[in-house]
Amino acid sequence: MKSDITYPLNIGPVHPAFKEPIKFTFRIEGEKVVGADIDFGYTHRAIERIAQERNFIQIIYLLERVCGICSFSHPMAYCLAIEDVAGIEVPPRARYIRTIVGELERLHSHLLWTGVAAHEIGFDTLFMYTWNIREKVLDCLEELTGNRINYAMLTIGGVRRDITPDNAQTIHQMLEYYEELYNRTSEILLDDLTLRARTEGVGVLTTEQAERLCAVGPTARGSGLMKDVRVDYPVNAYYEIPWLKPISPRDIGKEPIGDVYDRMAVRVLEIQQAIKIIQFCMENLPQGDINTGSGAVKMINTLKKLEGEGIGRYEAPRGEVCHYVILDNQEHPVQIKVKAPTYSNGFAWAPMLTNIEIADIPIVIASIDPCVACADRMTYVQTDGSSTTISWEELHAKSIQKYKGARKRCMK
Amino acid sequence: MLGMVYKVVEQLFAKKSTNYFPSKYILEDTATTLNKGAIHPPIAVKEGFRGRLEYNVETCTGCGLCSKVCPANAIELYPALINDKKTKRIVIYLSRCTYCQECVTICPKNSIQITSHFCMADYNKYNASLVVGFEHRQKFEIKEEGSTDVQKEGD
Ligand code: SF4
Ligand code: SF4
Repeated sequence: MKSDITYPLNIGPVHPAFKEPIKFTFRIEGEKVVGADIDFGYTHRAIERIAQERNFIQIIYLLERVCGICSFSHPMAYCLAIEDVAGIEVPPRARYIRTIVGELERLHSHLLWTGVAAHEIGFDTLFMYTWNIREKVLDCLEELTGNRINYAMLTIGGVRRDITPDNAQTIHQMLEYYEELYNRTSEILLDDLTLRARTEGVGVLTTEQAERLCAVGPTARGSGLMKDVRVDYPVNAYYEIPWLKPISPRDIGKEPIGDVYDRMAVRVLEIQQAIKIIQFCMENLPQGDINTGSGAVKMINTLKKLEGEGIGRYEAPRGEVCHYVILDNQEHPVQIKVKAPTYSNGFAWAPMLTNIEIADIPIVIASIDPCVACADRMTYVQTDGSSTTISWEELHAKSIQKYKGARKRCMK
Repeated sequence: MLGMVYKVVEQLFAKKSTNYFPSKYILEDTATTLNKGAIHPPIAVKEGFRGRLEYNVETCTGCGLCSKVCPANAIELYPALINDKKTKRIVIYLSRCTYCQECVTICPKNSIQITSHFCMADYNKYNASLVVGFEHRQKFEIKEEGSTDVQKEGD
């Protein structure tokens, strides 16, 4: 018997299936999801506003905390933006070290994601397995930077710590460990029947949709778009790697259809790519300085005298992160704008979440590797303690007004 | 079946494999009667780990550079009287510190050092154990009329 009744299913804002507060309203027909509505705005932290109260050096550590996993990518994009305004030349050794730490982060982020994905489909053994092998790269990062998660490695114009011969030894050991394990891991992740049954043909995002909704990172590449900031707008050491190209499921001989399996395949292949990039960088690590040599206070004083706008783009594990700064003779950027990858990928949820089963909701939502807090924008404003909803027209007018002011300061 | 019983009995008398945390708060008699207060030492951290800060009040000149770059505003400058000279010294609130090492890098006198000590949990974030330079502050601070003690006031 066919049922014509559509009923709503609310999940969130706080729900064990999600790691962060976000609200979904699904329209359900029987067991099928026919539509989804997404409500952001439960975990806004006003980082852009807080940044305006801090100086250039302090902001690096603030931005490190935008995302717990991309804690290298955000300050990286910010440093690139500031270096863009100030025209600071980064020494070659620093560029290579930045690439190495960035790829180590990608390695640990993708391993983390495979664990989360396995957990979402109830395959907890695999979750334990991937998180167990992820410890090795975290240990390596701890030795290299002094901390497992918040690396405090970057500074404007370079990096803060050098790779010593001892560190190099650890990195080589780690790479050997992962190379040994890679075949086994990729076999589990890509060939296992349970995983395939749960991920193939689920949460499809077609190439056209991905292009129209501006998906980035593994989400876009899983749908067959060949885009990768590391290749398209290379920074650091990436443009010196001749063989670097965007990963796609075609590399394992499969035409991408944009389902969860394809996105997983892209991430698994990127683990291998990250290992290769680190190897390349370790082999070609140039000698020399690791930063411009001017201390934090001198750097603040230099930047204080500058005016202008700068943009930094970097390929985080989840996709493109983009930071935009305006400098105006002050100790801090007068405006800083953070665009996290989930901000772009969030829209791709809408087509992915249509025509799936209720049971597939968690894995489809997790498949873009969402980071809700990074992408959150405020939707309600508090005026004298009461909350108001802003209409779209009002918001639009306000945004134009705000950026006109900012641009005027830039242009003068 | 018998094996299981044996296991259960064994578990009853086995030493806990986990530590009480923070272990300094375990009751004295509990620790002695149950012999559970013994601490399994944590795995040693790698060289270069960023842990608890140490402050040398003698070499510090009170320039205030560290408090300028500290991203967490964890460093407070206070007026101090040292050798009959009015100057400034710092305290570091470890409960706010993000262990970024920026103050260590910037200090011209190397008065702040980073150690690999990380067992710092405490119930009160203004305890002397979590405020580096607490005892120097009590000794050297110039108390102004009507000033209140921040550390007592809390947030
Ligand atoms: S930077 Fe060093 S010398 Fe200056 S106030 Fe801080 S600890 Fe003292
Ligand atoms: S380590 Fe960083 S956060 Fe901690 S006191 Fe020093 S500058 Fe501040």
